[in-house]
Amino acid sequence: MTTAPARAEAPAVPPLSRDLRALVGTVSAPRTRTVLASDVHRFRLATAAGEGAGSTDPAVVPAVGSVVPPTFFCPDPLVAAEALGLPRPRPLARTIDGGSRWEVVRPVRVGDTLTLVARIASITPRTTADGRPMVLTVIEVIAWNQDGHEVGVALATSVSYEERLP
Amino acid sequence: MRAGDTIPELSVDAATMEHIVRWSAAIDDYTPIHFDPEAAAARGMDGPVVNGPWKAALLARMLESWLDGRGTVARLDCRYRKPDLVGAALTFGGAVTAVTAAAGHDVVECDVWVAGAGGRTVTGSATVHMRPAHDGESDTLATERLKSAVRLGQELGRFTYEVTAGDIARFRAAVGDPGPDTVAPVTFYAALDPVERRDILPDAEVLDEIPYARTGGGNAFNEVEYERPIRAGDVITVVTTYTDVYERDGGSGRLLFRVRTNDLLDAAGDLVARTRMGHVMAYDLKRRARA
Repeated sequence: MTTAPARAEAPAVPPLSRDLRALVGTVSAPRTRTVLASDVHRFRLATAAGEGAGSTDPAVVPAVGSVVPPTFFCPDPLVAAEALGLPRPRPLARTIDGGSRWEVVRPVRVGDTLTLVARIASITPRTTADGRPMVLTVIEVIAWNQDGHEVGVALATSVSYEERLP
Repeated sequence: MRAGDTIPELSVDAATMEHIVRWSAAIDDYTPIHFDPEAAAARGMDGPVVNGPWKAALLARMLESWLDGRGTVARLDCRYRKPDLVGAALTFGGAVTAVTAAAGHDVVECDVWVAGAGGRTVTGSATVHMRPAHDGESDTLATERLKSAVRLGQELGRFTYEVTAGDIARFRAAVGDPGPDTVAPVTFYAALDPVERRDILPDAEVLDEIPYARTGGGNAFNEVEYERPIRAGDVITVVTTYTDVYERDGGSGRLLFRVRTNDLLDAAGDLVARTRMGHVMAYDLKRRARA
């Protein structure tokens, strides 16, 4: 009788609970809003690089028809999804924003009317480098304009993990 | 533009609480760890932390400054690797990794990053579409590219629509024109325009790339000449051809006109009507389109 040689095993990835699995594919209700010049102006001031955001940027309120910044259609997909009523899973002790991705399909302009819908695209069990349980949730927000054209997709990766033991 | 080129850096001497509060208000994000020291401490942070998507928005701004109206950001992908505390000095940078030619523009792939006190706290990549630096038409709206997109002077396409009594009844109701649903009113030709129906938008991408602020636009004129009325049961094939693309100065800025004809043919191929549709868009050539 032979035995398999001993080897270091990667930490087992814990399975997802049924409740978590059931959330995959959940879609929010749509929400429609007009792109106001004042909102774009606030966004530009908030992302001015100078010391003291508002005091050094001479930007004027943008005109109707001006193209808005690339991420404006959904500046923070996690925040947008929660505002749309989509639940954000927080299955483990800590939950952070692990990253964002924006795909700009068409320019958005001041005066456009955008409709956003959020969806839980995936929930995946993982382990951290030191073996703690971790769950990655990808949330996708799609935006369409008043003509029904898709203008962009924003994705966020929400990372939940267990804390290190003291 | 070639792989290895660096993107001019953008520096923030300090990501201030003012940045964070303005960002919170701009996007309606009031998560307290970004501005409340106690909430941050309860999460094990040494102080309030800068929002990841704010840093991404500044990377987008860096890319836009670099493009200077010569292109658009098509994709931005960021991984938030470490938190930056409010008050940190941040540097936003990037470099070109690949350039490939596409129709009318180059597709430029870039690495992007944010560096804070703890090294690179955000890493990622971006795709930008960049137009050639000098195409000889910098102030021109009626560009050769636009004329090519609409296939000026050539048949753009054929679109077949069946006209039902219900279509005519709905159209009459919409325009407040009582009459029989067996014969279409004279303005019904508008319902059979493939561009208005958005069955074809040949120049949408080119128009989106016009770098100037749009100040207005709409239908300039519509003309129709009937050979016979359109009737319920007709199967109409619309042959669309752009016949003119031109520009001139107007009261609301520089005006860009696109003119198309539609030949409406019946099932036998006989001409039912010919329309001429003019559409105008106004631009302020002194202002860039970016908000």
